Amino acid sequence: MNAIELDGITKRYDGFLLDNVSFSLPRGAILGLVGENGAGKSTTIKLIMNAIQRDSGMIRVLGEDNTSKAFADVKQDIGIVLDEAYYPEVLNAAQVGTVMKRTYLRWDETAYQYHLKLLDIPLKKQFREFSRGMKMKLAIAVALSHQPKLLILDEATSGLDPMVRDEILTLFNDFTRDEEHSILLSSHIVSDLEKVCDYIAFLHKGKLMLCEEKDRLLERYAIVKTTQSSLDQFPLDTVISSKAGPYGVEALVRKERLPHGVQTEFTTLETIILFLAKGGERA
Amino acid sequence: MKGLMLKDYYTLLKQLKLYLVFIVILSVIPNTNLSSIAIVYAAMLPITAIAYDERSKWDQLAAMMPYSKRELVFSKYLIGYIGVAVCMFLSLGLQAIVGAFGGQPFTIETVLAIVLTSFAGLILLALNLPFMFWLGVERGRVVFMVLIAVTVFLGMMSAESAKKVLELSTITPEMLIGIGALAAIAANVVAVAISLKLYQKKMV
Repeated sequence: MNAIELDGITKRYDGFLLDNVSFSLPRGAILGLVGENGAGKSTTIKLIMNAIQRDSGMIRVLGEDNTSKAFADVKQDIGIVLDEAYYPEVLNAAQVGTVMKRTYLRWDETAYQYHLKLLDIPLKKQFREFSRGMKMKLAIAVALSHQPKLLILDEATSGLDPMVRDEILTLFNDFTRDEEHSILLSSHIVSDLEKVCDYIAFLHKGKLMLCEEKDRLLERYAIVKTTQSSLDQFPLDTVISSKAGPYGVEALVRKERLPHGVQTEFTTLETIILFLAKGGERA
Repeated sequence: MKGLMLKDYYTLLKQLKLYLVFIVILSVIPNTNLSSIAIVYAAMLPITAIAYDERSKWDQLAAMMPYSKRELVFSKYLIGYIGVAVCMFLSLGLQAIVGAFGGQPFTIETVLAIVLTSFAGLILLALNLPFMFWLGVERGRVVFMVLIAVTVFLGMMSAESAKKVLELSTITPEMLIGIGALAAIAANVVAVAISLKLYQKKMV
């Protein structure tokens, strides 16, 4: 059973096309949505929440078509954190809690107070005096305090210092211990995604370049450092993309197509993403 | 809807306290026409709430929370309705008290002027909010300034005109209130529908 399913989603704006995007987030898993600025991550999240209308395709969230009337109830089960969209700045954390109590049917005040304390958020300080990191922490505390089954987090860890980021990533990991709980996490910080995600979806210029299990991705690709002439000898479709340096050529390759005996180096998710973006092809 | 109303209440809380003082001062000054300023100010409250929402991009977040677009739009009208109603009853009450203690007499013209100005405030709200939903507060404010100038002028005139209308015609005060109420209701029904369309269009 999937928490989120996107099938052939297309959305066109002037100068931007989210092109036929399909992926799914299995229940109990964390999917990292990665891509450069303007790749379509926020548009995808808005489409998932039916905050904007799609041009074509189908989206199901927690088993419900997101254009159906029943989706209004499904929203009760979704905790949301958006990049740069917050509560009005004159509110404080205590008031945000009171507003959310009247918004979410399963609001858990004890959980809210716990998360405020854990994340060191002052209760009476106005939101306008919060740093960006504090704003994100408050949004995360709200998102975790109404017994959600799904968290949708747009750049939730950006602007946070490494220690708080780590703390929050631990919270996300704890959240998905319940196999009914899932997270869609969009981020520029690939290292964060690498730490917590089970699946990675990579959007580049409105196109989905890949959506795969993180571990499989790391098994499937490798880095080869060689010369251009050696690289040219590799079978077709082996090299995803390459870059020339002073000591030769560095290339991202598909391991299964690599000739025997070729030395490879372990790669990171960030390297794979960078090479895929450079190569501009679907994996 | 309760959550949205509460959010706007917290957003406007500081202003509401000042506003209460403002109404009291305007109402006890022995000049009925000044109440119209307080009533028109009450019709402005939703614009302030929308401005705060825009500054924090609350709409984007709210669109993903369990609020319907209808609730998001109508809650803003509701703030205006509550504001105008509270202001109207406060003005009437204070004017009656001032009259009882030997100030300006509390006459039917006083009541008519306050009630009709309240309807004018609601019509102003109906004319204005669709522009706010369409253009945003920054650009919608220009339209608002024009509308408010016209409404304040009409409000200031309303006591005199109400008196003259009552003297020269067979229209009774009840009829005048009825006509005002109908105009305010009709304007708001149309305005809410237009605002909803504009809001939905903006969220595409």
